[in-house]
Amino acid sequence: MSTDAVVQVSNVSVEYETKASNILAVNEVSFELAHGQKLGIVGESGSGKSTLGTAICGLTRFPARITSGSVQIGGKNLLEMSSSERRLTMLRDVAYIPQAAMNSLNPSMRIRDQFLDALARGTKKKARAGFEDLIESRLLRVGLDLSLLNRHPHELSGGQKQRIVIAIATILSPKIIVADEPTSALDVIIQRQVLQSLSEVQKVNNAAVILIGHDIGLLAQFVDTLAIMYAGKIVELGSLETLLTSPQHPYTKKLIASVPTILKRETLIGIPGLPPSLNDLPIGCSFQPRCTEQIDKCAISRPELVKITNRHVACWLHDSENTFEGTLINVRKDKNV
Amino acid sequence: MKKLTISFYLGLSLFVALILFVYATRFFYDTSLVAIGSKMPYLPPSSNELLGSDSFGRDMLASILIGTPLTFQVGILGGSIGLFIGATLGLISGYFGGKIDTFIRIISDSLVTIPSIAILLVAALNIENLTRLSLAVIVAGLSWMYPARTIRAQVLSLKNKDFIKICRANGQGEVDILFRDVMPNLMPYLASTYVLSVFTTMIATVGLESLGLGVEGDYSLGTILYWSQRKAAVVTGTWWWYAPPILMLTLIFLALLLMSIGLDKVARPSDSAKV
Amino acid sequence: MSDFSLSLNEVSKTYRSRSGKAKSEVKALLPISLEISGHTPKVIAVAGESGSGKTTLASLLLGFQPPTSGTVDFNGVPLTALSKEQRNDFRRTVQPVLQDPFSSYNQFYKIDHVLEMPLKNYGLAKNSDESSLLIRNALSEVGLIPEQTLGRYPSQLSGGQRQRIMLARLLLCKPRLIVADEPVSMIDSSYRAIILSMLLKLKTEYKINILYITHDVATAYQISDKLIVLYKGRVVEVGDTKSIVERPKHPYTESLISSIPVPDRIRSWDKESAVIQHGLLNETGCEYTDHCQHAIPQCKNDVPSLRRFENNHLVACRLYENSPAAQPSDLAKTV
Repeated sequence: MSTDAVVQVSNVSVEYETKASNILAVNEVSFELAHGQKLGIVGESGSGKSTLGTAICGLTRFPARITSGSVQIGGKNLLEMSSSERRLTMLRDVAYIPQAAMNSLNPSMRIRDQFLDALARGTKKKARAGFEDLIESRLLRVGLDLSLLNRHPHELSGGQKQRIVIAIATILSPKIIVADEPTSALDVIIQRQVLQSLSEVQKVNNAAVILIGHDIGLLAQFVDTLAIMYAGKIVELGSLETLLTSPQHPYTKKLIASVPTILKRETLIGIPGLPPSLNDLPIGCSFQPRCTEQIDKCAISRPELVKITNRHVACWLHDSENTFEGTLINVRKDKNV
Repeated sequence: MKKLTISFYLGLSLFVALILFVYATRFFYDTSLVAIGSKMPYLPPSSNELLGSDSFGRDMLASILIGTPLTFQVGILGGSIGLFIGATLGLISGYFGGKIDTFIRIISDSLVTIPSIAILLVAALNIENLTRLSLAVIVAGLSWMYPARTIRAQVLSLKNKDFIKICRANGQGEVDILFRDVMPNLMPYLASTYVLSVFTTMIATVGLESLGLGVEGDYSLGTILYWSQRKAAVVTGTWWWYAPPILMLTLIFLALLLMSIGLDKVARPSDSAKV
Repeated sequence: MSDFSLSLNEVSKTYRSRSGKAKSEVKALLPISLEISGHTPKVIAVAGESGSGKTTLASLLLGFQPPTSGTVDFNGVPLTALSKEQRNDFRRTVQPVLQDPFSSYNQFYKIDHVLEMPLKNYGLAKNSDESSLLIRNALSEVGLIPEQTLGRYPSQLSGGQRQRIMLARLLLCKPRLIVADEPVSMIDSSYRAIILSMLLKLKTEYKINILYITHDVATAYQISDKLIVLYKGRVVEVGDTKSIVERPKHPYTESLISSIPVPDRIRSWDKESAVIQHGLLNETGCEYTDHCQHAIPQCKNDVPSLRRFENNHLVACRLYENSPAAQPSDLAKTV
């Protein structure tokens, strides 16, 4: 593990137990993040991105089960820690903001009390005094007015609640922030405010951020590294600039093309077909049935994620001589990878 | 339909077991022994009289076998009437709203505040020939409020849902929507309210019966308790007079309660949708 | 196919609620006049954020709620005064597409139900064979495979599929106006294109007018001919979509457009920070004052009226107070 990596995910696989069979939702995903690096994990519903998000934070719950891999934080494997040690690591080092987190605010508690609640759990201190300054600074950091501390969640708008959730989750200035669709169901202007709040919070101690979503246009406003997920695997991984300017995987290309722009009016391009059902994956590449650039090999065998010149891609069209053996994949922020 | 929980199945099995016990054992036991004087009075349980006899010379096992179905009948009849009235009023009240809703709610809310036992007593004391049906109706008359309230609340939450708007866009009339689209979604609530309704009715019935206000001539479980008290069974040590009915009632109520808990979970499924 | 018209005549909607002792009043939609008729099918987009009144506008047009003032007229008759037959005609002619592909379905029934009902109620099929055929054709039209869709429960299908089934439903109803309230905001972005291009197809091939309500101006730009921008219940700008998006006049429209995330480093958000201010809403002034970069003290007191530019482009902002004022009928005709 390189010394400047703050989190290292290696070969993580997650299965869902169902009556019929076990479904592999996340299939051997690996990547590393440095301090301050912002990774966007893009995928459609059912791609396994949310499952991956919870796994990275050690929050996998039945019926999901981590069947392999490790998540190294500060040199220790999160998945092998005792539950109390994991809980402490979670509160101090890793902030997880789940989807629709704004709905998880306690409707009967004032905002200030919800902050205090989180602090009590994280620091094991019950004293309210001394926390007031901390709470206020956190609230201001996400761009909200102090008067909101006395309110109840139902008095606030969606955008305000979401920013409060971000503030509460990151109150102890964690090293890693994982946010799953933090802006879904919010208006375009509010989305911007929420992501800006996230940005402010990230800057404070140069935390690494993993932003999970389905809207590549939105994610591109915030992240510097992109991982494209399809049917449980990462199919392309590289710096934002590289992927946007020269996407290699056919799925990535289609995702970028599907973002409606206002630069010019053109035919709306979608991705025909549906993502495969995870318990009935096609033989060969999972994207092959929908791929317009396939070759014969694609229907027969599944390509692995390999490193080519300036990124990683899992596609037979780019099976070059630069195959990178091993499981560690480190993608840096700078352009020359 | 969604998975019913284990409580429901437990309760249902118990209920069915009790019914089977009561109806099947008749083939093996002579139920005419419930008549007064069939046996010597105050006989303790023995191999001849499995549950002994009471002061009237009635065989206790026979009494249980005859009395339980009587309690069931009134309870289920009353519960059904209560549910029917309550659900209909709740449906109308919730869906159409306005003045009719206010009217029904005022009646419902005022009745709830009156101690039902008082009304039941007055009603039972004043009716000359109390039959099982009239007893059921009286008791139902005071238990319809809860189903009405529950169903109304559900209808209120359903009527503004998106799919109802789509129903209208599909050309469905209001009454059609009520029966075709609102009703099916009420099934879980109807089921759990029904069980609760039967429960409440039975308790009220047994209550009346144990005060001696039951149906004349019916030696039902509550009436058995009444007579055992009248004849000071506790003092005379005739435990086999009151213990069997109490046990039976406990088992019935336990079964109903378990079913109600089980159905309650179905009535409130969680709305999570993420993988 | 006879012609139709749906018009709003100085319609406004105010919600009054009493929580505890305090009475609160929310002016969801300020008086607005609009005339939508069947002459040439168009896609009219209504853009705004939550609280702009766009959803209220949709529900008034669909007859889901009555207006607080003014009338919503269908073929000249106010909705509240329609006869049973006219009401039936209205329901069929003006159809909704709702935002949530989950709650649009009665989970109790298979999806076939929502497709069979309109054929039955509007007498669009002579017998069950014809009904079956029409349904299969409609599903194929929207890119779904009937065998993989029919007979399933809504929970067994994805959000995108469910929304497409709703579009198939529209094909069966053959409406003249579709009011689509944020039809793609709860769907993965990679799917939106398919649904939106279907909507566009409904206009071009089936000659149906579409009122497309959204908070995302990018999609509005892609598919609409006319654009109405709402802010806190008021129309702030209206006109041709292309001209508004390329040269927005109202400060709010500018802000809305610059917030569109584009996966292109040239137009990133970094350049401007979103103006975050929380002030009290002015009773008498322009609602956008607190967030506006061009605000002057006068804005707090004077509500700007709509000014007219060429091509029936209307804007409500003091920046243009020297332009000719627009009449309510101008607004009505603008779409």
